[in-house]
Amino acid sequence: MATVSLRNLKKSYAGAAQPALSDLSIEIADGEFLVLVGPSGCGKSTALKMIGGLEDITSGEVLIGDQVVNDFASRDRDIAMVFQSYALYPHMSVFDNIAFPLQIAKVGKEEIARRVQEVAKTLQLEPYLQRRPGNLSGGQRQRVAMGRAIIRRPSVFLMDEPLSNLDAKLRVKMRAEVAQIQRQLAVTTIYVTHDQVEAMTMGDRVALMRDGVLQQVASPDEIYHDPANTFVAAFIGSPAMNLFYGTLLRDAGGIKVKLGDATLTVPDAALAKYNLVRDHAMTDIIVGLRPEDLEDAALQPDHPVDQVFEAQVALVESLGSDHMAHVALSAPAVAVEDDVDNLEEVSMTGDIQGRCICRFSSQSKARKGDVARVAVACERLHFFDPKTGRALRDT
Amino acid sequence: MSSAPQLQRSQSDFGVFVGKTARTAVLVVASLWVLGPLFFMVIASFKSVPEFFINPFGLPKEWKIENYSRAWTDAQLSLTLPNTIIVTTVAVLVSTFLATMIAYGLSRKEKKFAMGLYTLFVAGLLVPVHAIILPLFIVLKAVGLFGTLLALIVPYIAMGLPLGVLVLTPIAAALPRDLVHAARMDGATEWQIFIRIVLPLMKPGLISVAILNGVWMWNEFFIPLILAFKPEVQTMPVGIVSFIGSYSTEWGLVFSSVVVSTLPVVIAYLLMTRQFQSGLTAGAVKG
Amino acid sequence: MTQATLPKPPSQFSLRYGHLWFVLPGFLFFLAVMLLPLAFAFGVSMTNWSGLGNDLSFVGLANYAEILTYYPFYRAAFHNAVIFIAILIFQHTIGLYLAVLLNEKPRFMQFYRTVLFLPVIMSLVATGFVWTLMLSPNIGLVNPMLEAIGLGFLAGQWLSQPGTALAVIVFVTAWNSMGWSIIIYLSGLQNVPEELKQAAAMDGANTRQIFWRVVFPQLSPAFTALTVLTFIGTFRTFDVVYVLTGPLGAPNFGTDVLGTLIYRTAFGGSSFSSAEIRFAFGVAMALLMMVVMAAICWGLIRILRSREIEG
Ligand SMILES: Nc1ncnc2c1ncn2[C@@H]1O[C@H](COP(=O)(O)OP(=O)(O)O)[C@@H](O)[C@H]1O
Ligand SMILES: [Mg+2]
Repeated sequence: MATVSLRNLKKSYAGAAQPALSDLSIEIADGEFLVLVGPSGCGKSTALKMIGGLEDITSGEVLIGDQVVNDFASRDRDIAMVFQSYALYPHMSVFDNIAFPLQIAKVGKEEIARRVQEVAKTLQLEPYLQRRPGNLSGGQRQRVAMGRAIIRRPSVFLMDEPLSNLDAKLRVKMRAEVAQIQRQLAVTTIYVTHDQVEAMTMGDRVALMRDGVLQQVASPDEIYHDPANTFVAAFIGSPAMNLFYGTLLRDAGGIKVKLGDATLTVPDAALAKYNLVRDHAMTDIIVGLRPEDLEDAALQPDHPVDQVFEAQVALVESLGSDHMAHVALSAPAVAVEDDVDNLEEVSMTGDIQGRCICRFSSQSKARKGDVARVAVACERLHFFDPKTGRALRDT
Repeated sequence: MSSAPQLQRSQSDFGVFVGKTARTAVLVVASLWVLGPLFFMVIASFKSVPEFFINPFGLPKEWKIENYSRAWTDAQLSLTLPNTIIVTTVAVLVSTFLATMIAYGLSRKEKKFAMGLYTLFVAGLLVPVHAIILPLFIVLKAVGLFGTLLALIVPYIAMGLPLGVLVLTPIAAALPRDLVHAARMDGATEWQIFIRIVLPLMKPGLISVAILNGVWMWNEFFIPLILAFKPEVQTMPVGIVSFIGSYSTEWGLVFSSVVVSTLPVVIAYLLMTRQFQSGLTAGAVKG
Repeated sequence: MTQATLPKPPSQFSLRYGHLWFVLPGFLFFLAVMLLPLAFAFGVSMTNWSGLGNDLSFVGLANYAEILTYYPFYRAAFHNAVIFIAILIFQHTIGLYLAVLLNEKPRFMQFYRTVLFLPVIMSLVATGFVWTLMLSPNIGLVNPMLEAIGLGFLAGQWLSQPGTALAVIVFVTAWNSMGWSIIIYLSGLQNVPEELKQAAAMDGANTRQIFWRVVFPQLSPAFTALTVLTFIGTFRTFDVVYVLTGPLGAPNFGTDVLGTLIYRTAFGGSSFSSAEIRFAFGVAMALLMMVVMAAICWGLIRILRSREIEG
């Protein structure tokens, strides 16, 4: 078992204008399950390959334990990897696929047979050992890939989107299984995914990346409740956090935020969390509202009236348990998926009508075309700097 | 109303029948054109010299099996047949293996010198044997290979490389990188990766190349004509031609030798018709 | 890390050039057998070396200059060109037609296909002997057959008449190489998507129109491959001529091709005395031929490929 330290890792591919990975530093504890998440093309696989020794390191250091392994060949790093494509050897039986790392390591025949049996049992692959990977279902192939990784009992597991080729149902099942196997073996694991649900459910910690730059590393709860910037805020959570340009006002009643026609009072709890908000009074900021913090005010008669706004309902999608109401807010929405530069442009054209998604309970009677009163749980508002997108708090 | 289309239909049925018969006839004639001479040759290989003149066209009155046993001794097939087998087998195996190594080594364009070396190897297809054979002769003599089977094997190995590299490099480049990466993570050395992963995965391509090279090496005439001067080191095509120089009227012997020299390839072809056809065209279409 | 001893890290050199270890063994063969002799040959082509003895002097490009006015070279090249054109026509007509017939999946298609490709795997030496026998005036089958079908006046001494010898070379080459065109065209035909033909049929095209308008344009890669292949093959003709009409290209050089001319010049034909062997001059011809062929191949591929893209 071992810790993994990434220190200022950088990768520039020849001919690429921007580095695929810049200045990545993460300390991963022994036995930890770290999920590396981000939109595709953000450099996750690149980071993983550099740790595995499959891609050379432009600058920075990779440490396994206390050892800098930058110059080590993959086979000397004591790492196992599960690939998105599974990378099963098509010309070998399942048995030989799983046994391959041991055969290479010249482990005795009986020992190999014993350990393969053991792994096959854990992964419920026993009936398939003599088959070729081509004759297996997606889920079975995935298990074989896992088996090949765990049989060697390496110090570190690397997994590159191992579940993304499975159908949705199987993915949920395997998610739990992979997490369970990891807990059992307690092997330090770096798990790459672009699926934020996987990230939230599986990891001890989540590292979120964008365009080769690390945005935040934190526990799933923390990254959800205290996003470091608008990108993290928008990426984690489904449906995504609503982000709008607003203006902070200060009057006798305290600090208020103005979103188009609506004005909401910011309670002390929120101010305590976002301690820099006070400094931004009377300026433009970005306000984040999670859909589940927005409820139909008709169902919450006790809700403070200064934490309610009115808006026209443009669309209601029923999920059975909830009603997703898309309401029109007369404030400009923030488009985060695109480049950071766009933020300013959007704020210039202030007349844009923003869509705000609210998770109303299923008792809500709000229908398309109604003007709904929306109760905002203002203590859970999020505030970001409109220029940098950073959360308005000390880190 | 209803009879007119009927009539038309039956006419076209007749047309179809005639067309079909004509087409079948064309195919049959073409097949006869190919098989007829071969059959005639096989017949001839069983005739004695007098019978050639008395009865040139019919089946032999007396099947002279001795033609074959005499071909074995007099036409030196006892030497040249094993030679051909050894030379072709060794050269095909080594050349295909080396070509696979090269193809794998060069399969990533971004690697140092990969593109340049690939072009160099493939350009080897254009090198005229006529120009290099005498320098080759001098080199082989200098290193003492002249007069041994290696004098053919070594050139064949090298001359098989261009086609091998041409056919195999795209195949190697199309191998999933993840498989190589996986093997690397599983602890394999580069050589183990090549032997245990790359080589088996390229098997279909290897078979194509082996057939491609095997056929020309088996049939090659010009190179042994220059580099193999005595039956002990000759392959069959040259062996037969030089035999004719001395026994020009022994037609039966000549044709039994030709039959013996052709039969092994034909048998291999009949056993693996598909691989031969796709393998040979693969090389041709790329080349 | 659990290992007790630290592994030796791979050097920067092996990371960068490691893949070349796989190339090296083959490259050594290639160097020794192809590159060095080729360089040597180029050097020799600028001397007047006969190939034997040490008697030589540097003559610069004189050999190449001489080729430009050397009549036998043009005569031989002309014969190669005749063979090329004739085989080309043969392959793109009869070969294509047979491929089309096979593509209609007649009964015994597997048999026809196997048989028609068979000559390709036979050596040209064997092919030459087969047809020497067939065409022999005394014991051959061809003359009697012609007489039987009333074409007796055509029968003759095929290989010793200037008018027919070259035709025989073409004929035998065609016999040996027909399988190529059939298989290449057949695989081209099989790659034409069914939907394309069905779509054309829906649009009201008849069989003939479908073939010429829809299928045929799809065959241009096959056309290109076959043309280039035929070019290379016919300009390297040697074995057939050697076996059928001898290294002199009998009768009276009527079938002399570049292959035999260079062979004779460099190594001496049976009736040439060693005094007439001019190795250096032969090598110069071979090298010139290599350059010209490479240029023509390149041009052919460019022209034919550009046509493919338009089509
Ligand atoms: N071999 C390569 N050569 C050049 N650019 C590459 C290579 N591999 C990846 N990239 C680029 O690096 C960036 C990150 O890629 P990757 O790490 O595969 O992203 P992810 O796994 O997060 O989807 C992408 O922009 C990709 O185009
Ligand atoms: Mg990836």
